[in-house]
Amino acid sequence: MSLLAYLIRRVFITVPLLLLVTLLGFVITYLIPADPLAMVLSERAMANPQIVQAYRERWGLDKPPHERYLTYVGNLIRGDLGESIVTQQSVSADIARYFPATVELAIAATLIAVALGVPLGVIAAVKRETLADHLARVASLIGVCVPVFWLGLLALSLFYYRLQWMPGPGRMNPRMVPPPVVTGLLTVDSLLAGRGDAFANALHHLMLPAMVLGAYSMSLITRIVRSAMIEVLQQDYIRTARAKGLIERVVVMRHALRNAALPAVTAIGLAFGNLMAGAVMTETVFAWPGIGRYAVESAAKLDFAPIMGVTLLVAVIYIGINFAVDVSYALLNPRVRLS
Amino acid sequence: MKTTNRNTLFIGLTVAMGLTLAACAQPTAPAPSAPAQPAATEAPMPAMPTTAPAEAKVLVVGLPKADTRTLDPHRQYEITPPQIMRAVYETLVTLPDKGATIDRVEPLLAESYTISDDALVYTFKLRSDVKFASGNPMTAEDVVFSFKRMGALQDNPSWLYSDHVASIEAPDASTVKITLKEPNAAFLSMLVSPNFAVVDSKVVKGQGGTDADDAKDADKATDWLDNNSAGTGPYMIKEWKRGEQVVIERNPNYWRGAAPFDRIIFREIPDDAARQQALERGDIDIAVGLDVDAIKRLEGNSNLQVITGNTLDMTYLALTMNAELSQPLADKRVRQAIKLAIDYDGIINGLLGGTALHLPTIIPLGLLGTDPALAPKRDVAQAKALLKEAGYENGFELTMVYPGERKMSNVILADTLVAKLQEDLAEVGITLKVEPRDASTWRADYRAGKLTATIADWTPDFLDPHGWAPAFAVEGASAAKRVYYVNKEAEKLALAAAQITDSAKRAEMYRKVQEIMLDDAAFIGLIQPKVQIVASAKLKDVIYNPVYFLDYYFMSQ
Repeated sequence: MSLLAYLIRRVFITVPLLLLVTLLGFVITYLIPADPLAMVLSERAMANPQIVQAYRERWGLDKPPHERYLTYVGNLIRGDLGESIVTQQSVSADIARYFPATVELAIAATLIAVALGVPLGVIAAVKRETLADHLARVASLIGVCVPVFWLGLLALSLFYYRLQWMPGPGRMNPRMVPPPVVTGLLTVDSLLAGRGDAFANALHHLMLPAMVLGAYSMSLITRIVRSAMIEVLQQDYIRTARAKGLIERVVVMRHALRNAALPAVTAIGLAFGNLMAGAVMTETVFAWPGIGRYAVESAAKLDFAPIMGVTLLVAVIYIGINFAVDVSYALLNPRVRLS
Repeated sequence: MKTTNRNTLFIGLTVAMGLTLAACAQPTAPAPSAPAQPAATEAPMPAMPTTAPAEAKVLVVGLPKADTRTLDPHRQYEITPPQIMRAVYETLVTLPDKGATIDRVEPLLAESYTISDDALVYTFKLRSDVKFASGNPMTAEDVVFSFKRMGALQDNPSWLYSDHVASIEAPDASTVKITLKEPNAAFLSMLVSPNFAVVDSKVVKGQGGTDADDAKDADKATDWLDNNSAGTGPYMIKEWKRGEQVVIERNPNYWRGAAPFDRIIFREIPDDAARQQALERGDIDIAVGLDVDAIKRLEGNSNLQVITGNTLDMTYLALTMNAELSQPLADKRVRQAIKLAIDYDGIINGLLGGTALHLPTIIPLGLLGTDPALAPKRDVAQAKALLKEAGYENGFELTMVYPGERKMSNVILADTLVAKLQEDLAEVGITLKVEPRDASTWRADYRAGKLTATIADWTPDFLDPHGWAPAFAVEGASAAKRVYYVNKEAEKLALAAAQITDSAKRAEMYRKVQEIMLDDAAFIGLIQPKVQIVASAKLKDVIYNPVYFLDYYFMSQ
């Protein structure tokens, strides 16, 4: 099967999958025995039939559920994610507003996790059963176990409040004028605007939350790299490499790590998706205006369109990753057939 | 084979991440900042000030999670907006003494006013020296447009206008005459509300605003008003970054003289500990919504000041009078026994460190006709005697459904409060079975009158007992219907008290309403929280008031 045909087929499978996601989301939201209007209208307004009627009409809540669902899907097919009752903005505008902050945080967290996790794992494996190994293992165990909001508060009060090495909550000093929005990633926008001061400030603000958010992934990577390295280091080709007289650094970095890094890379990819979802707590502690807080607040207010918008976004990210993985398998390994 | 697969997976993931990121980097919709601001995009970027000039005076206010849905003064009705609204919009009348007095009003944009003896016709003479930020003079036209628009939008606050006003007219450029549907002595106090903001009608019409009857569909000005302002206030809205901050800047045309700060930034810092640290580090100048323990620790800090004020919020216990829901509660003596069993002091001093008042029933203290002496005292012996009389000597089981993780009146976790009530009621033999619920489903059930016993909040709509008494005392009214409260005498008094203008007589009637409701014990007042705001000691005149929260006009450094 050609790549194009496969791609078309996959899209045809993906569409009903996404529709199923929306149907599930709709049914769950609908089954909750509460009125979304009560979450936004005051007691007084709820007691005024005219205002309630105007709201029902405005948000289509006066229609029977199946009709509301069909309208939603109809709009969705035209690329319209609907409007949020709470923010009174289109969901696509809301997502465009909040998502970049989360992406920036997640990228930074992943970079930190990789930059620290891989060397830690390598050292732990090479110096197996030494103090360095034990320390790395304890550190990674803590990273996996400690809840992120607690770690966030701890980090904030140590590095911001006590030591004063790090700036406070938020993406940038409130007194600083931010660069014009282009990508929504403050560090990138600062560079695009040629604003060195803003870039430094945004990067400085990014470090602490990124470390906190990345702690879990980092620990996971450390553990996976360590166990993979230990396995690889016992292989015949490592013994061969050593036997032909290569120095240990080359054996470890070139022969062992390359092979051992593969499972870690799989984990990194999936961890990136998890970071998106796990950012809620970090975003709350660090006053980070990201998609996690938007999702939670929409859910608390039973705001259907944004709940679905964020769900679809996450679904598309995962489906996209899976899809790209499948395609690249076939592209790079002739033995794998797309079917 | 295995190795190759891993290799391709690696490349695949990298490609996928790259694609995702590329997609994320392109916002699908235009960013909301500063639409329709002329020259905003043409302004040469390098010329933009990168930080505030050294001498610029910037005030940073740290807010908890902001509930702002809109900054359109005629639509907003959430907790966060009023303090921002107050800094950019003004009203015909305001609270005297920089907002410290709440039981009467004084003119602001009006020069004077008269009220007809039957409390039906309100006539305002406007000041002639008031200009909007645009430079346009304020006229009666603007007032008529503003009030009519607020009513016609059919949004959250519209009832303030549509439930009360029969007609509004401008006999001349400096006079506004409002005729009510029925006599209402409380109407003047409603005009203090930031929803009755006077907007620049020329500017708002230019942005698609309308006061016509079809405004709920035809008005298009809200998007503009979310990011700009058209008021007479000391500041102007510069930008609103949702979920992050609102920035307001000094209005150079302010009619009472230029305000002291170049810029005020309202920054959202949802986590209490983070907000407290930011205040101590000096990154923010005012912290709102810190908890009691944090404030206790900050009290000794000489760089900070703690401002305390009385809110008009309240948390109350609601007991149904419907025998189908609860046989015991339908008996007045049982409800009275519960009223006497509660350890109010323990709640206020023990759980809240004294940062609340004990309101007697449903009208917050400070308002006309209220008296702290009316508040019930704990009397376990009397409570037991009443239960015995009602035939529940051996106690009974009572189910309380409540919003578990909600912070009641923003100061006490519902779980904590209910645990205390459970303990208190156990002492008189009543077993409280607790059922915490999600706030949205709890609210739906309470509103539908399905709950036997619960705790709930009520926030002020305007500063007159009329904002409370009818809602709780009139059969079928929004609060009364939830517990099936019926008492014809209380109902008659609650309604009649709004129809006369004599304050002394009104006070007496509201007192009587409270006495009746205390005796019926369907609504039992628990707490009326004080609010505590911590600010930099350098700030002068940080004054709390229950309508606008903080009035930034008076504040200076």
